[in-house]
Amino acid sequence: MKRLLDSLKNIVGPDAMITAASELMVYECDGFTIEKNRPDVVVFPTTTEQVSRIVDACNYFKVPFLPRGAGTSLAGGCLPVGGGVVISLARMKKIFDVDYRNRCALIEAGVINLWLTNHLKPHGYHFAPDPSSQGACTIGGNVATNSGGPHTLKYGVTVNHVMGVEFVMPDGEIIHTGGPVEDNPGYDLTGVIVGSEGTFGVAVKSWVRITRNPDTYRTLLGVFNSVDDATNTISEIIGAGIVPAALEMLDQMILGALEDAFHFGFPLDAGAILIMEVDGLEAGIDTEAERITSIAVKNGAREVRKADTEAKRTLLWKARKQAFGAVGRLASSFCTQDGVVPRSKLPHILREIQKIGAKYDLKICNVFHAGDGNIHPILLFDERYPDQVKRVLEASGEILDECIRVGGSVTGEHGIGVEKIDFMAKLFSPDDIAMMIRLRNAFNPTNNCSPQKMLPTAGACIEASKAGRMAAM
Amino acid sequence: MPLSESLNLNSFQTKTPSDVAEACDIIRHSASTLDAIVPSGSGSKMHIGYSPSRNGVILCTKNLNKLVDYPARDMTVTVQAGILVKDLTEMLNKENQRLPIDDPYPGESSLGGLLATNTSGPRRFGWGTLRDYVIGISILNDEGRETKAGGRVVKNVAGYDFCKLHTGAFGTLGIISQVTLKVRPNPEASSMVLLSLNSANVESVLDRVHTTKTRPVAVELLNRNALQQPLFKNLDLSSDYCLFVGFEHGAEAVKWQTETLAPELSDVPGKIDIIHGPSDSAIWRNLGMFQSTRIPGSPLTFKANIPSSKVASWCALASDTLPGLSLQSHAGSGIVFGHLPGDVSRQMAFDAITLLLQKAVRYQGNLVIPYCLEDWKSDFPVWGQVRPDIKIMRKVKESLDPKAMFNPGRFVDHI
Ligand SMILES: Cc1cc2nc3c(=O)[nH]c(=O)nc-3n(C[C@H](O)[C@H](O)[C@H](O)COP(=O)(O)OP(=O)(O)OC[C@H]3O[C@@H](n4cnc5c(N)ncnc54)[C@H](O)[C@@H]3O)c2cc1C
Repeated sequence: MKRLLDSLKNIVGPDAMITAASELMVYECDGFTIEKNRPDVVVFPTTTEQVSRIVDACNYFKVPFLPRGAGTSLAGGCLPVGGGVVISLARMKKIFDVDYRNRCALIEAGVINLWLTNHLKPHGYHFAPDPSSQGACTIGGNVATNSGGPHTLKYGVTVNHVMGVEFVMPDGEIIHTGGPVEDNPGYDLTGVIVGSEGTFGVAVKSWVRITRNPDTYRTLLGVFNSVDDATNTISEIIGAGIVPAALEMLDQMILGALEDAFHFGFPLDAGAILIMEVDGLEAGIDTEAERITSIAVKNGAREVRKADTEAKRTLLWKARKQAFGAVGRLASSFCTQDGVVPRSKLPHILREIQKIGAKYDLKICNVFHAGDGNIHPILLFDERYPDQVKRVLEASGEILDECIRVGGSVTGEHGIGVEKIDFMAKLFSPDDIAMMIRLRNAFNPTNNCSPQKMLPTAGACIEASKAGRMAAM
Repeated sequence: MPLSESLNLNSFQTKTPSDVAEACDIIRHSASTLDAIVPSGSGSKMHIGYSPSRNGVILCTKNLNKLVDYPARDMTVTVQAGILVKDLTEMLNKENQRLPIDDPYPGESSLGGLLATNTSGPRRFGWGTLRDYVIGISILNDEGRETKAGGRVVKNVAGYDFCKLHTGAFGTLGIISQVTLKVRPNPEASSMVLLSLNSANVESVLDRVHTTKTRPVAVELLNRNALQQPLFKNLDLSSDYCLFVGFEHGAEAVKWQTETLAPELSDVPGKIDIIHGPSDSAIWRNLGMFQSTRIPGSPLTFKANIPSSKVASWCALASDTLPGLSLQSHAGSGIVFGHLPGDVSRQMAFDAITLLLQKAVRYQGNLVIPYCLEDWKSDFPVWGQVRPDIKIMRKVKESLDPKAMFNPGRFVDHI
């Protein structure tokens, strides 16, 4: 290890590494805090060549390594299983080249998602993937996890906006896939690198698509007496062939917490509200907003309010995007789950979540990307009581099993990480997983890069490992 | 299909399995005899790429064409890959939905073929390409097993995204047996604004269309030779170029955009025509078909990918190099199709392609040859200039198809 540390010091310099135990604590985990493991060292490269040399050194000394962005992953993607070297991209923050005429930008991995959008704003553009964590998470992390956000309903998730990457392979080689021009011949390597959760190598730079801002918005707040009425509305809006820019649901419990935090004026006696946003050209937008309003009313909305000033809209989205933060007002610990169901099954899955909460005597609140069928039940508990922790784990598992049963998935955006490895065998057959392992072997044959992530290893015992599985607490 | 329009598959036997189990048996058998397997759907694109480097069988998926599930209210559909795109389109249309991908062979293409070749057309500017719509995929692998990735929900990050990998892989990594797609509502209205342009104005008009207040879903540039082809002849356009700007949205938005774009460009010399649905639908279709038309005698069709901002200058260079060239560009996306005239010699064609390829590569793009005379393929850059990431592509190929059974030699760098 000493020799590895010397090599790393040569590569990045003493000011760009952390080895003190007290400072390493921050890097023991990410937003998934139930499993922790301290890395041996964290390095902060500033160039692609440095990343490549770090990877070479790790391979030479046979020490595992792992890329890390802002560490907001909720699935344990940044857990340094087996210790080793954490390669933080946090100091690679350059926005190199924004080409408005060709609608693309070349940026480094450590650029924070929201900075990019702020950078583009004066020119009337934005980066479309807008995860709720966008004020903190990095573009590299978005690329690795294929992040979504409220507006990805209309605009698509990260993979739909990444045209190419500069990538350090797990053997240290620097490659470029795709680029600023569409349709380069050959396999869509960019497409599989996005969402590979750091198991294929380190994304150092990305060419991303930039999107023109819409001319205008209509942001509506549908107020419902029951969750059922709200989910039926979602189902009917989608079924009617309307593609809103965003369609988000918040239930009564989360509304209370948000009102305390933001004083938006949410109706606290509502069973649920829907944030329904349409955007685009001025022409026709009111017609679309009216169609949505009448579907909401038909499904029992007791009122449909308009966030008709920019200030109101901004506050509403701020409240929505910081909802997880406000949950701290409801309980000392919470577990944010991430599952997906076909959109017509939303009324069903929300009822099931309620039943499961009652069965395990747990409070569960809901705030989620409803238009995509992407649920985020938040299970509240107190981590000092092991019995509660156990019930949270079992209830989470039951919710995700129900998502699978109705034809959905166990993660819409947070990823598999270490948290959901055990669910892979429930979603996929051994043959399917064998193909995924083969693909990983093409990129990462020694598995020295991000070991023990995403894919179950042969022979792992599902039940024994279960105790440690939990989403963001 | 005339022989000159197909790969050299003379000694190949065609097998047409009636279900997935039978297809898997064929693959397993070929794996034991080390025969090549050339997947085919309806056969409309069997001329693209190099002829296989080994003999074997053509595995035709046309009977794997069943609807598996169409929960229209979820806006997704799951079908077997051999289904004809026209049958899928008809089915979706009954629910007022569609897959907004242009099919250059309307009536002929199978969905699997469209996917394997990552085919697209004018609408890609506004609606994206197939990779944006495939959310689940089943693949018959080298061991003759059906394996899947993705799922049936519109948002899903569980496992690696094989949907992307197989889209555009030309069947070299396995056989696509089943696909789940995200679909879209049919647009309420559409229209096309046509602008006749002099060569001198093309670049500035394209720049202005880029910043128009409207939101086109297609920006198509055709040169004079292209406008003379039967697909467009009835439009009676004879300027140097014609720009087709297409809109598809709600009725009010389409009306406003159509009425806005024309005055925005009123100072450009040349005539402006506005064509509203339903008569615009033929134009959309024909713009989608241009890439697959065969101009009599034309020995070669290329597809270049360059930055959108370079379309005008690159097309000017191409026309200067080969004056008889018929050109169409999906100008918003930087894609240019060109059909060479019938009277060029092999050497002239080779020199021109070499020059245009170099220019495209300098712009970080490339140029491929979806169609040329079979015996030209030995020295023409069928898949353009090979890029350094070919190394990784080879590793992917070796890992997923270690016996090199699927379409051996057909795709980039004879992979
Ligand atoms: C409050 C909150 C709200 C959230 N809301 C959303 C949401 O709306 N939508 C959503 O999709 N996610 C959401 N997330 C999850 C998380 O923010 C995203 O997954 C985000 O993309 C992670 O970015 P990061 O920079 O923090 O990456 P990290 O957490 O540092 O890393 C995530 C994974 O990516 C890998 N990785 C990071 N950088 C690179 C790189 N350069 N190259 C290769 N691999 C890399 C890591 O190894 C790890 O596996 C939320 C999280 C929180 C805490």
